[in-house]
This record gives sequence, C-alpha cells and structure tokens, in this order.
Amino acid sequence: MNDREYGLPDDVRDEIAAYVLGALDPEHADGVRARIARDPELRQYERWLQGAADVLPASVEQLAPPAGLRDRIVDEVRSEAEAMQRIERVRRRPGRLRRLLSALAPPSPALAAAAVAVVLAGVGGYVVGSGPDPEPAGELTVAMQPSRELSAAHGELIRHDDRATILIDRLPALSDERVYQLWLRHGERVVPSATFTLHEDGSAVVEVPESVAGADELMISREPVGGSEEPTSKPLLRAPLS
Amino acid sequence: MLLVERKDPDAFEAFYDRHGGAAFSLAYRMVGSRQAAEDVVQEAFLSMWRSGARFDRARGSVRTWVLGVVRNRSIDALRRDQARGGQGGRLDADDEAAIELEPAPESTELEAVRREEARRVRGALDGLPDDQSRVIELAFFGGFTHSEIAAMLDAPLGTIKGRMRLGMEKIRVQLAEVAT
Repeated sequence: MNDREYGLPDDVRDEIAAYVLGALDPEHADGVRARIARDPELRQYERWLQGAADVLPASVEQLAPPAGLRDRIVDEVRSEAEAMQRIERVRRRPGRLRRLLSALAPPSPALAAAAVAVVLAGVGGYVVGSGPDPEPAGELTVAMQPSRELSAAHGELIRHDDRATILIDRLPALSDERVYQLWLRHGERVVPSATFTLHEDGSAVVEVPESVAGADELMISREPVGGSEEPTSKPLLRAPLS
Repeated sequence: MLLVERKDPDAFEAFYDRHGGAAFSLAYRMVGSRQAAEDVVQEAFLSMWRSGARFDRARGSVRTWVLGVVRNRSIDALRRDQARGGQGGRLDADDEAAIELEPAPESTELEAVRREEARRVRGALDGLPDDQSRVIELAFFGGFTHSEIAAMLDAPLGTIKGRMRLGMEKIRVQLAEVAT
C-alpha cells in the first residue's frame, strides 16, 4: 500500500499526518480521532501512516541508561509490591479496629480516636481480643483521621516495627501542579517525607521511606509538585504514631 | 506482559531490562538532559507499573506502547519546564554532559536487528528535504503542535501540515520498499 492508493484529499491526509505525529492540540485531535473512527478509509490511511511514526524512536542514538536509574525503578516497584502484599494480608484478616469502625456509620472522630486507643493497647504482640485472624506480631493498623473538608477520604497506616505503609482511597484528584506529601511530626518539629500521586481510582499505596521510630504523628497534605520543606497547607489526613 | 499486568515485580524487572534502554534514549533525545531523561523514564515506568501495564494490543507492539508513554511524559516535562520559564532542558549539541553517556551495547541478535532498523529509519529521515524532516522532528521529538511550528518557522499552517504529510508518507513508503 502506498500514498497513491489512497483517494483521500490532500488536506484530509495533512490532518491525519499531524494527528499521527501528535502535533494537534487536544480538542483538534479529538475531532480528527472521531472522524477516523467513523470512516474506514481514514482508519486504514491512519494505520498505514502510523507505521512511520512508530519507527521514528528507532532513529535516535541508543544509549545505555545509568545503572542507578534501574535500581531506583526496581526498588520502588519491589517496595510497592511488598506493600501491596502486606495490605492484602491485612484486608483478608480484618482486625479489631476495622470491625469496630465498620460498625459505626458514619464514624465520629471521637469514636475513631477511642478505637485507635483500644488497638494501641494491644501493641507488643498480637492484638488482644477475640477473632480468628490476629494481626501478625509487631504489625499494627491505625485508621487515619481525615480533615473535615475530606470526610469521605479513607486512610490506614500499617506499621511494622519502625516502618510504615499508608493505604489511602477516596482522596480527590490533583492538578498537574500538585502532589500529596507525607510529613512526620516529632514534637514541634515537622519533617518532610515522600510525595505521591494517586492511582486512577483515587487510591494510593505509599511506603514511608524513613523510619517512623520516635515520630509522634504522620500527616498528609497537598503541596506543589516536587514537595515542600514545610507544609504549605493544612493536613488532610493524620495518624498517631506514639 | 501478562505477568506485568498482574504486577509481578520479577516480570516488571525483565520488562524494564527489555525496554529501558530504548526508553532512556528517546527521553534523552527529547528532553536533552541526562537528569531530566532519568526522571521521565522513572515516571513512565512507575506509571506503567501502577496502571498494570494495560495496553491495547491492536494498536501495535509493546515496544511502541512503551515508547509512546515515554514520549508523552517527555512532552509533559518539556511543557512544565517551559511554563516555569525554562528552555525545556534542551542542551546544545556540544554540551559536555552528552559525552558521559555510553552507547547501548549490541549484545544480542535482537539488538543487532534493532540497530539495522535504526539505520534504515535514520536513512529515511536523512533522505527527506530539510523542510520536511525539520517539521517532523519538531513535532515528534520536540512535542510542538503544528500551530507552534508554524509560528516558529513563520510559515502558513497548511504548509506545515503538508510538509508533515509528505515527509511521513515518504518514510512509510521507503520502509515498506525495504521490507519487500
């Protein structure tokens, strides 16, 4: 198949060439995409021309990526995979806190705090109380308290020794200029931690990169992309650590 | 890919090993600095990991999909930098940082096949008239829209789109001729 076999007008083919190169602004591209979807001949031409766009990346000089880049990506992937496994274990074995909170509709901050106190009383071994599936020794799940403006948000802090993983859902999506950021409070001192963005479903799984030993509280706020040295907005979710 | 979609970290590590070099090469070509390219590739692969590497097999190969994600992230990075008043992170061709990067090793037969494909594609691009190759490079590697390119080159929009179409059709025809 070559260009002479398409009986399409030049201006139509020009539009599709610009579309294939990604050179149309979004609204214009949406319109062209819709036309292509409706017209088999346009679709055939677009697929033929896409063959040229697909090979353009092959024209660049092939470079060996820095070894550190691979390590960073793989470490992050493995860390998240392990966190997901821990969360899955917790999900399959709901603890006393989860059962207590699920019985409250809607939970009040005061009752949630009381529930946290009950669970914290069991620190140091299996959570005290009945239930067929006790949490593993040293693993503690704490519900995070949302701010009033985000009462629908849900977060859990899963602590194992001095490490913590955050499981969050129903946080609002952010613009491209904003991220969520973790903070660790040690008395009056607030220390910046990791930034993160949400999965498509509004959830996130975040491993706190630092040890949480000695920290009093973990907080989450909205910050500019790249994070901040000090919080620039009020915490949206918080969880006690001591 | 099935194991990658199921979030198997071992499979994802192999997935990165297979496509990371091409991804970094494309990102570096587009954003022009090593650090920015690393950031782009990291963001791209982590987004693929978190989304479960869902892609439409009818649209092309896994490699094409991966490089599409990297290209989009590169364009985002260029536009963010431009919005902050930067120059897009692009280096001059003589920048010393460029000599720190090593060429990818040709360690497998697959890599040799890819190098041959690269040679053919570069030959096809080099064989285009300058005005056609320029607009294709600005659009595909620079992430510019046709309106922006028309303004940059002080040419009518229709002329720019025509050059894109003529250049892309020539590349496509030439590659098809080599394949037959």
